[in-house]
Amino acid sequence: MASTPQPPQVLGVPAVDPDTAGTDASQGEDEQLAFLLVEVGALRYAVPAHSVQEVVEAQATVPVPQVPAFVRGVFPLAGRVVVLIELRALLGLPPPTGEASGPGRTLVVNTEAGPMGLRVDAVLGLQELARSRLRVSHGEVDAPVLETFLDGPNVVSVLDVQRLVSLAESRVGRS
Amino acid sequence: MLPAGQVERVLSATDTEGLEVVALASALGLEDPSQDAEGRVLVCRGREGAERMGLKVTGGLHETELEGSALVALPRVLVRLRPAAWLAGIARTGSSLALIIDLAQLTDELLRLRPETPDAAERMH
Repeated sequence: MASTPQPPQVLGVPAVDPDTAGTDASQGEDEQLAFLLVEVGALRYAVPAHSVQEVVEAQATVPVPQVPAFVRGVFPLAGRVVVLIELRALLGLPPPTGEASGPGRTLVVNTEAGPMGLRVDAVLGLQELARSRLRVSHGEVDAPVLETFLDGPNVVSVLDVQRLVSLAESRVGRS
Repeated sequence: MLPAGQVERVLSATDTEGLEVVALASALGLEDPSQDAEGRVLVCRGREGAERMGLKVTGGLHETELEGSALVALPRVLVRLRPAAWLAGIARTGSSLALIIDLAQLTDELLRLRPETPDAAERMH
């Protein structure tokens, strides 16, 4: 006899099913999504707000030898050790020209591999928008940008933090 | 940060007793700011054999003890970026961090990667 699926539990307490979370009918086309808008050079990116643990000032890092150049190093944060990734370099964007881009800010994002620091030039703020405003991005299959939206005249690319980790992995030995 | 238990002896860089010596900084892939002969040489042995190698350091050497709670495993994001095998972990010292180098692993790697000597090539044939 087939067993009835039991709702997931954590330590005996009913918990969210990670495989079905966020797929209920209440989250339709007009679902409001929240993003943190950041700037890297002249480009704007949006990081899903639920992926962002915190935003901190530029960090002094301990460099790690023999890793790709986009890894700036590691830094301590609230008792943990976090890897700082230079987002510009990871995305393959050209280095800043003329004036230095300044110390920037660090987004600490939650990935399936733990927290990861992303150094960006500036944090522009939080933005909410309806899911229907997102447009599918037709980039490479494994690109970290799946969707874009328009913010005034600017095209904003939505970053998938899990795919950023995969992108970093795929670039090991190539950068 | 280097595990003291993996250092057999410390020699002066001016008398290395015929030991093969590599600058630690270059062995780690860092620029070696000091090319002078001064400094000290850490005598280390790999795990794979009895052969020893000297690792030259030019800064000061201070021995310190760490509690287990100060040792942090490598962050998983970093592990996925395949760091060098000799990067053993991270030590938290106050508000700062220090990388922990597995000297035995590093010695093995250096011994493996060194140019083959004519004697060694002869033994192969």
